[in-house]
Amino acid sequence: MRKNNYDALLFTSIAILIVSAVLLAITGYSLYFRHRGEATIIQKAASGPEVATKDWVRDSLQQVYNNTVKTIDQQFTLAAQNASGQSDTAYMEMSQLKKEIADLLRDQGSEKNLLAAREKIEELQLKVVKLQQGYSSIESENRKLQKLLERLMATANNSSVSGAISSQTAIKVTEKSTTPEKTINPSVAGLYLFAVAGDKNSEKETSAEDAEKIVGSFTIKNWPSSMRSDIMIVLLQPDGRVVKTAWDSGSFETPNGRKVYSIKLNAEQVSPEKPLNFTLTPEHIYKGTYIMQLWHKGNIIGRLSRTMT
Amino acid sequence: MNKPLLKALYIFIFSGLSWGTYAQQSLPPKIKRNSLYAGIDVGSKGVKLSIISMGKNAASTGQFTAVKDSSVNTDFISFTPASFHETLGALTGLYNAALTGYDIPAGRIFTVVSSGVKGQAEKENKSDWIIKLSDSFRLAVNEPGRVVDVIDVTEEARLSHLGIVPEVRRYNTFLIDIGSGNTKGGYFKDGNTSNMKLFNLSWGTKTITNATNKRIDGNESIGNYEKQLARVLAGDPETEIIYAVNESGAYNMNDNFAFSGGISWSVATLLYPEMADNAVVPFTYKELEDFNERLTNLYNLMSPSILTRDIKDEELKQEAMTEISRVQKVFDQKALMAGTGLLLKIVRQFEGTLDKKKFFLVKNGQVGWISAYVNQTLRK
Repeated sequence: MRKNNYDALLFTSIAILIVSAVLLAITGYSLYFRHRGEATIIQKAASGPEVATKDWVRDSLQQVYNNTVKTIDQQFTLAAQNASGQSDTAYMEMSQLKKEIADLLRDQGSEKNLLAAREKIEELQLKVVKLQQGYSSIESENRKLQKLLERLMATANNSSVSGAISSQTAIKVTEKSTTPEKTINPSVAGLYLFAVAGDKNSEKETSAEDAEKIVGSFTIKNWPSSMRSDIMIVLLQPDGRVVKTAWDSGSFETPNGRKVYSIKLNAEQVSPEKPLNFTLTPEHIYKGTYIMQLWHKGNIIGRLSRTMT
Repeated sequence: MNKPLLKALYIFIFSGLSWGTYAQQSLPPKIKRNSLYAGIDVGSKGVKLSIISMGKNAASTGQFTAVKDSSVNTDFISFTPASFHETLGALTGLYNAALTGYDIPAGRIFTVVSSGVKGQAEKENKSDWIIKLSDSFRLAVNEPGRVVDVIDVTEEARLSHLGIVPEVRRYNTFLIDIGSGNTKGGYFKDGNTSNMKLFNLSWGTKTITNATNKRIDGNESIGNYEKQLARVLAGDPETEIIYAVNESGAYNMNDNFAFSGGISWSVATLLYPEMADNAVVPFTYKELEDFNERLTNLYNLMSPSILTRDIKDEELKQEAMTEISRVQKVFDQKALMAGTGLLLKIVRQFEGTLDKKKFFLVKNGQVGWISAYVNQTLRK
């Protein structure tokens, strides 16, 4: 009986020891792996802010990109309504940019990509601004024409001209009135360029060294009386730079960006089939070849080169 | 060496004049030393030295090149012994710098006291301070016969017009200078340069900025600034502009409207970077309106590198980038909005629907008077 009691006690002790060992092993195991887990988390956390910043930059660029794309879409809805050829080219350029930006933003990789994306987004925004400016000038031109039409209609009504003109017709007339400017391309003839000295009454052609001013002349053809746009004269000196003078020179928009003109002839100064003259008084007149370009609505319509001796 | 002399020395060392060593300052390649003139102007805020180069066509075209433009703040109009000595020191220092640094002979250095000082001295019965300053200056530079002209408001406006506007546009151009505290200008009536119609507004870039800042009520956002600025401009400034423009009769008498002053220089620089090397640039009301819009909504796109990205000529590109950075150091976004808003309000008064006027921004207006003063003095 006593022996049985000892056996039971021994068995219980061994069982308790085994359970304790198992529990210790489990505790040790879990402690060991929890620390490793924490170390991994700490390691991850150490590289976290950079990743978080990158994500934040990417998100914010994505936001700017989305807004820009939204504006482009609105502008191209307008473009579709106005159906202009120029907008197709702009659309293709912007689509290409959009694709490049989307690719760069999608890539989770380097900072270089983010920088490149930012630059491309800025470029895209600039293009959108230019597009908006283009449309707002078309809109204001349309408004002016609409007002003119309304005035003409009012005059017609006052003169008891029969037949009411509906607003639908008015829009059609407005569209018609813009058509001639779009289709007719003016041409130029009789281009001349001289280096001269002397006052207005005794001007004579001379060498570059003795010249006080440059005088040019040309004649415009195919210029409808309704044409309300300016002619820009770009004079390139022998080193390729544009001749600029204060008060006469400025810049204008072309499909390839802004360009500097030497002098501008306003629409009201232009009379077709008659020689149009201009005078430039640059600080220096150089020996060599000068090139005169005539621009109208962003396109070259005439060109002449002349060597000054 | 006293404090103002040190100040003048400091300015010239840092502006590259090498006054201390009497070394000649190098000039841009196209500038000839014998075409240089200097004007030193004692103004209300300080003494200013402008060095210009007058080309062969200067008289007929109004073309001159601003070579250097430096100033020393002295506050002469406080009429205290300290401000007197500071002004005298600055005047003498700048004079010697022009004489030795740029090798400009004394006969081509002109010294004047501006209308602001004259007006304030008369108001406070301190005109003898101007005489004392002139006498002390003659003694300091050892030139007993040196002329120090005292110029009044009309003469200053007249000289600026003659200096800035070329002869061919002289009698159909209204010149308006938008300053920090006020706006002034005028045009020649009846084809006569001695008959100037003056134009005055009590608003300038800084006064508009201050009035707007008073209304923002803790909300520093650009949106709120834009809203408050619109309210300020639509109040007293607009009333005063409409009255002054109508009273001047300028609309019917002129074809050209030229704007000078800090804000005009800034707008010209940011709006037309490709014209960085031109002192005067034409603009349209529509372009100014679009620029105003961009200032508010797309200011982040107005960095030097973005604005000059289409310029192919490297030299011009660098020049434009430097000028854009200078503008952005002088004016922040809000000050630019305030100044452009004021400019837009004034230009709006001259933007006709049928009679198309031409608008110009003048970048070097602050040195305009010297070329006229030089021409006028040489003709005498």
